[in-house]
Amino acid sequence: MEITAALAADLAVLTQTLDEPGTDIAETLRQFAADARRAVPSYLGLSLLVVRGAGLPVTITALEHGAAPSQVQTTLRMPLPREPGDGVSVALILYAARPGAFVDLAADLCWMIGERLSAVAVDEHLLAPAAPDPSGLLPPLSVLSGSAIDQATGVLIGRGFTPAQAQRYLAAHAAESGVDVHGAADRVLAHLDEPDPDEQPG
Amino acid sequence: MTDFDPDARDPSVSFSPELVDDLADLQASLTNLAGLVTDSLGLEELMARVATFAAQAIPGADGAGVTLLRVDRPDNRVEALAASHPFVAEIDEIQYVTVNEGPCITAALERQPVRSGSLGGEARWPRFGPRVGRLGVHSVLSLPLLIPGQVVGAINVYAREHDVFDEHAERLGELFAAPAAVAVHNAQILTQALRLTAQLQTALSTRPVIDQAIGLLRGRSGGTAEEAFTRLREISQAEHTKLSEVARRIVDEAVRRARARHLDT
Repeated sequence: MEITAALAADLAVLTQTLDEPGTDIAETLRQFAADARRAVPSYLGLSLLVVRGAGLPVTITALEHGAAPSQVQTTLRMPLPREPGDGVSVALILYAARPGAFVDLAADLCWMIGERLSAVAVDEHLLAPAAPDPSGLLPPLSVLSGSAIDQATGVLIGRGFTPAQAQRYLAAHAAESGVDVHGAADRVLAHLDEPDPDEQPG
Repeated sequence: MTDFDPDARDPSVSFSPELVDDLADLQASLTNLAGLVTDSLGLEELMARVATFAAQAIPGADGAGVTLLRVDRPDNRVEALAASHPFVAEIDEIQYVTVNEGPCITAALERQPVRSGSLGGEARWPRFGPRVGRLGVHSVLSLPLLIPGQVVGAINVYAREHDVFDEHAERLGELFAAPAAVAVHNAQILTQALRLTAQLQTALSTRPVIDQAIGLLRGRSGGTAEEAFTRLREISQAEHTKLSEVARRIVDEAVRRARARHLDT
């Protein structure tokens, strides 16, 4: 399985966040992919579909070596008996090259968790999984895209802002500067030693 | 082995009472296997039940174990294992930890059933056999767990008497092992998927407060995000407190001060 450098970096950060000795999320991902590969001969790879709060979903895809999105003929969204936790939901989408490759696995998984087969999503993600931008101009997708905003929020909290005031400040600063909230957050972090003289908890 | 048809009238086919009992035991075990529901069972508890069903399915068995193996990793083969009885767990310890040899490993590597009726003098496993013989266990039948093109583990069935498992037992074992392999491997996939999504959900839900704490520390004393994270980890280790709890405490204290200041102005 090919894990991009950006995904590997994100998984390393998330592993640190877990703070559980012996746990490596990238290794958990590799083991899951290895097991899926053994169960489904035409397995091509997987996507992680992450939704944080009311935000837009972020889809991160990792395909097997040599596999291409155009080869995908069937998909399976893993039926997992789990509720979203703390506003974060993570879905696993599997891809394979042979139509019908997931039928038996889907049936077994549904039986194991006590769900009806009609509850499982097969072939509902047949749009080719997002391939890396060949031009290299677009920033790679990241499940940690809010990190700068959260850090900037922390900086502002330290300066006397409440969290709500920090959010309003970043939004207002973004609008005034013609950048998005990420850009406003990056500016706060870039000028840690030079707080904006107009900066006031609103 | 002749197909079992309870309505058969063919006089050339006869079923001994023992065969009828053996097939009934196999049928019951296969029915139990099909009825396993995983969401409330961990993988190892499911495997323990499969081991129990295997001991029931094979005539003469005193106990059984189920092992998930990675045959491509000689030094770290065992991914999960379960036993129907404590003596089987003791034998597993000998096979996988003490001597790293035995019928399960052989069956998995060769992808063929393996039998012995006298473990104490078994030349194939010169270190495993005598140790298990001294425990009073003398017969073994090991069956590879096979999914198309892959071996994922093995079922080991043991008996205390000598020469318990014959070709008939081996055939019954193969009939049980085929669906057992799929059930156990699919349960492993489900377990791994749950583990992966749980890890990601937990990490993604706690990362924002850690980033806020990083920002707080950077704002107070400068430095990079990596330096601030290192500082958080030092505090976590010194206080024996989870990183996320340290971050939450730091952020909550700062928010309280900010709110108090806001009320005062």
